[in-house]
Amino acid sequence: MLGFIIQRLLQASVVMAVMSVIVFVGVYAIGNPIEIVIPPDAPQDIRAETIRRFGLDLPLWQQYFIFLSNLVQGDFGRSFIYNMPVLDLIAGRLPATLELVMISILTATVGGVSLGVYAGYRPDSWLSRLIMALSVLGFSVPSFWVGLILILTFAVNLGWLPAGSRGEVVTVFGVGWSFLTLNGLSHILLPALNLAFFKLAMMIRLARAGTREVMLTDTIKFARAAGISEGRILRRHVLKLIAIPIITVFGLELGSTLAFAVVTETIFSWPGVGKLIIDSITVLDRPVMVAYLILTALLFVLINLTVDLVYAVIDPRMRARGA
Amino acid sequence: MAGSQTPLGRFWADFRDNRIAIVALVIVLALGLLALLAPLIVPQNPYDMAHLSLLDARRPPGYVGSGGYIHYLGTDPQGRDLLSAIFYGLRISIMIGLAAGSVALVLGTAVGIFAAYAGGRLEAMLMRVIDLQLSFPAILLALVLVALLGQGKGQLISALVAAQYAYFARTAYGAARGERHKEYIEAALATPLSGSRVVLRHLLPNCLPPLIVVATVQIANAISLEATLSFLGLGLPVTEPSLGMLISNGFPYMMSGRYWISVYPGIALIILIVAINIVGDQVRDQFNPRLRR
Amino acid sequence: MSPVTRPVLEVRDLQTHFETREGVVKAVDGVSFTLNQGEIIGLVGESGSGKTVTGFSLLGLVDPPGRIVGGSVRLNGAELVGLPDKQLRRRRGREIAMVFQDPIATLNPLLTIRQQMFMALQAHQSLSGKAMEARCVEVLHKVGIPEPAARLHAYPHEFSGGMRQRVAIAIALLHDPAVIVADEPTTALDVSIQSQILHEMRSLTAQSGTAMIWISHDLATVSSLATRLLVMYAGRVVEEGPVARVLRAPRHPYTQGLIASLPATSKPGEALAQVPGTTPSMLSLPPGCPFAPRCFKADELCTQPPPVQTADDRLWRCHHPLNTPDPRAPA
Repeated sequence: MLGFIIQRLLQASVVMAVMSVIVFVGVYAIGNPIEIVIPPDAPQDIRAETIRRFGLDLPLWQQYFIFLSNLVQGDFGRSFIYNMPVLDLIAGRLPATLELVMISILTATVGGVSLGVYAGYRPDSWLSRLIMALSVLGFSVPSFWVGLILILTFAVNLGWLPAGSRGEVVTVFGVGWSFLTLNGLSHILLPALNLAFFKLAMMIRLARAGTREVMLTDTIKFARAAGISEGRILRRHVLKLIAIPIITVFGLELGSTLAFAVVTETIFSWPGVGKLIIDSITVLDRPVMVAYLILTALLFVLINLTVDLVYAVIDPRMRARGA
Repeated sequence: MAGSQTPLGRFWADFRDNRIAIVALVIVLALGLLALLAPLIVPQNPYDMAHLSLLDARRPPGYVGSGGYIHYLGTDPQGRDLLSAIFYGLRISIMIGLAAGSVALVLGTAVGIFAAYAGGRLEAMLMRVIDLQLSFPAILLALVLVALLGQGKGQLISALVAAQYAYFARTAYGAARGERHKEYIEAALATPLSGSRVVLRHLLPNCLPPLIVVATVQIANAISLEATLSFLGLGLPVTEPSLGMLISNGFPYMMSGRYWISVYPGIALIILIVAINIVGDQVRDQFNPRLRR
Repeated sequence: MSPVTRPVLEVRDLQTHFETREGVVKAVDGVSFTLNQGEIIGLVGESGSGKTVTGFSLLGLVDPPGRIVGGSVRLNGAELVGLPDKQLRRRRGREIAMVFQDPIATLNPLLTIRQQMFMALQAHQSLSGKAMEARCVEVLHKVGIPEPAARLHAYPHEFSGGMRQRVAIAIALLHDPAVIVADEPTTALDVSIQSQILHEMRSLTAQSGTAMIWISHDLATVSSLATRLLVMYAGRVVEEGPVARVLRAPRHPYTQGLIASLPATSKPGEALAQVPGTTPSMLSLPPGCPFAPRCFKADELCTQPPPVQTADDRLWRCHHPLNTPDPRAPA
């Protein structure tokens, strides 16, 4: 088991190193970084001065190494636009995104698996067919459209929920969380639902397919032959057997949820990291872009690592193989 | 067990059985036709700035504009007839989706099949890269690429292709690897035919089914991705509004009750994407022997 | 001689049909037999003969689109056909248990043996953890698993094929059921293990008085174990009787064909005999006797449904039976 973990960690480090190069080169090598900092008609000496100040006159590989050494010390540079350390900028907006993502993932997984297992257990009931039809929609419809409809229905027409921005914040451990207040919850509900939509649809389909397949196996027949109740069978056999593909997708989709948070935050004016990156991309604030991408890559690697470890815990056969 | 049938004939007969898929297919073809004929059938050319009048801006559906015709779906903030704008928007969305999808198909298939033949460490490395890219969300990749490359059709398509070719590569790789060891390939390789000839005439046709399935899904994805990018302001320039941009134009007006500016283009987009997905689903189910009862 | 044995399972005219898009498949079409305490019945037939569906029907485990449409199944006197699932479940595992063909598929690879045995125990009894462990160890020991207490915590993939099947049999024995239905339990195992398990099953059932229905396509395995033989074809029982007598003098041509195709009955160097033709499609059975197209004794009479004839503890369903002592039987 230890060998398994070490092997995976090594792989992860290699990936991170490669990613950092790609991201850095990609962001700094294309186009002219200096464009946004100074107006295009600035006199030559100011240009030269600025270029030197930002270290942009050095060869690319040297810039990369300076970047890397700063990185290891936790210095991601300063934003071109906000003129503050990027890390502080990101850290300030992180809690908002985190709570949004957490709540939507929770909703999507719990809701998706329950609905999906039901649809797989009783595939011919009208409820199941309804669930499956809705899941097709959840898949195909672009998430910004779902957000629009949600706002239109619940905020504009029905007036039940606010149409954007974050609610009241309660500070816990020095960080402000909004889901702990009722007002905050009312603000987080629509964006979380929007973000959860796609994942919900995917979970439903997965859980249903898995459940249907498992229900036809001899394992279930054998359990039934032993007189075990259906409820017990669903809980102890079916859930465990469909867990593996669900966890795989859960891990993969975690990343895309983070990505789509970008869209959701824009629509709902949610002050999170996603909105930050969109704004940065629009104005080409490169240090922020680089930092965001590298942190995202790091997150992915960590997610993949965790998923691998969870596999090993759930499936005893993996432990035997990976060691 | 009747049947004259060629594989294509059988495929079509089975496809016909599913009524929803047929409806979806008809819808897709109809929308495609509308998009193709857009310049000929719309009452107004939405790109022609000269004919637009701000007096017509933000009018509700049914309004008779200064051009003398009824705006069945209302007008947008620039005074464009929404119906015409939607037709043109469909045209652009479909075109971009098809273009990105086909280039990604060709590129991805080439990479996938090459990897399957390269063997050894090259194959392992290539696949690792592809897997990595697959786990990275397409939207982020597309976002960054568009930001760096600038705006424009070519740049947008390149960004979409870069975000999507990995799916094709993976599928082609899997299919090619499965077929590579089958006897008919070994037999073909034993003949004087060159390797690439074998690949093109024998291997490729047998890898097509899963690729076709992926292609339909990816075209829908490309359309969806482009719409999202345009919505965020990072897609095509304002002079060529795709459906995403139309929706984004109307977003600020939703609060004040002028919903039609966003909603109608949105409905058109949804119908297009859902219809393509349904057709894709049906094609996939038909190629999967396990699901056939 | 032997004490009067009482019947534990009485099946009368069981009918299980599958309603498919292409038509109705009568997988089990009027099967009847009586199983006495301690008796072992061998249910033999080709794939598609309906023997497995018969087994499932006894436990009420037929998956849709199949269902029991008629007949009666009496377990220890109680009627099972028509019972709601909840009540059937109370009997499954406790009074009648089933062992399947491939233990890799029947045991959940993600749960330990202990967890799976406990689940089976808790389905019908509430015992303390210690009591459950004791019972599991006892049963594992009975089926011949070495070091049962330690092996209890293992996962299915840590056992060999033969051991896994023993575990499945142990689970079936947990509640001391009156009847065990075994569906091809040794088919997936090595030949050497097969005979071991057969032997052990025989002594187990002799000890505890458990009755068994051994379903198989392999006449050879079944005949070394069973006391009575039931031969099925196209959903019907075509011959029934004590094993030795059926094998020595089969009445139905199909049974004779099966016996003749056993490697043991052919001379060395000779081609193996086969029953000519293939299994009929259950959707298009010929009128009258379903075996007629493959039978060397068939004639126009066979387009009529063959009569069921019985004579001292034997049964056969044929217009032109073989080996009958009755002088009135047609040639």
